[in-house]
Amino acid sequence: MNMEDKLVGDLKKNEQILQIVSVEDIQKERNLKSRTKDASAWVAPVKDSVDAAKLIREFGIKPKKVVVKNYAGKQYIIFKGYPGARKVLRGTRYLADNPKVVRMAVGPKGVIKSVKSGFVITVVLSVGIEIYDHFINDATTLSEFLGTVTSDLVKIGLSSIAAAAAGLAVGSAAVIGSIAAAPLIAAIAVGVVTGLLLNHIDKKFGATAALIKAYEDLGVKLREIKYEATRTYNYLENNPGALMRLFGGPGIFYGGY
Amino acid sequence: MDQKSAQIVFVIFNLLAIPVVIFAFYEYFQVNAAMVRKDEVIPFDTGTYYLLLASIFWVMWVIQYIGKRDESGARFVDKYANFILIGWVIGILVLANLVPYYLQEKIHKLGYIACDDPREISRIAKGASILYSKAGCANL
Repeated sequence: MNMEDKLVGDLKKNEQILQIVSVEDIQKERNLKSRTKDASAWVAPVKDSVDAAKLIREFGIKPKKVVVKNYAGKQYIIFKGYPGARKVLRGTRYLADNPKVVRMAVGPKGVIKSVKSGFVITVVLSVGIEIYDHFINDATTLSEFLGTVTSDLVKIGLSSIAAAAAGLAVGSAAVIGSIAAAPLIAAIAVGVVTGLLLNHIDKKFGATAALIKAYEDLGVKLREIKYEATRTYNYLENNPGALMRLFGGPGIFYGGY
Repeated sequence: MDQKSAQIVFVIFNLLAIPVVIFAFYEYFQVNAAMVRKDEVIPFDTGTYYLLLASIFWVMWVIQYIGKRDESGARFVDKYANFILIGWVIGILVLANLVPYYLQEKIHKLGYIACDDPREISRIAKGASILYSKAGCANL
């Protein structure tokens, strides 16, 4: 290979591509990320609100009674009022896990299913946005990505648990449990409020920053472990008799004793 | 969930709603006081007023009380409970959007500049955390 080809080869190996981006473009990208994340926080409550609207359409704005009762070890949802006026739940009694009842988010299983699907949607959107941001933004480290995603998952999980507890409690309570949309409204309210409170706590105590620091420290420790392991392996490779000497065997290759 | 446990959890949520709603009012007065004092930096969270949604439990408590009281109370609940619940939620959502807008207009008129809050790394809740600064964002 002549010198010119070698020079070209070296230049290609060390090639770096720089993209000069204006401050306005960077700001646009950051605004897009924050607007998308803000919108993703609305998806679950909007979905629950649509479910609540379906319930009101089905049962009417003047509520007919919805009663949860246990008979012979099974849980039933009993609908009072004129069944002919309803389009989906035309019967008067359904098992609590009846697919129609669960789909309409009525009763305890319906509320839990609604909260679960809201949790999944919010997790997928939130983590997806962080993955996109991690790939687009060169300055974001893996520790920052992992710390932010862990923090998001914990907050979404706790909000969902609180929302499910509120929905179940309201759905089983006297009088208000008979209002079809009340459990969903309670779940939406508690989910939103819990998310906000967890955010305030995170800002005040720096929980996400601590998680990122923990991941950074873990990364440093893993690099140290990897370095020591590689060093030991290289030493053993270059000194095959060392293992034998370590376990007290004769040093066959180096004269022994 | 049996009715007794449900009622206990319902009462707990009613009690927890008290400090949550008080906090939302506290934040409002804090921001106004900072504007009057002309502080260098005013922290502001546009999602704080969604905390008022916790007051829906108090409305449910009142509906439950009226519904248990007597026949006329039960009829009142049958007729109006849904209207009251939905109307309350819509009212809170409107307030939660209007109050931050109103406060932000007041802050902008005083010459403050909006900056991202560096303490906020991860957020899943509504709104955004902003630091309003007189001297710009470089020193935050």
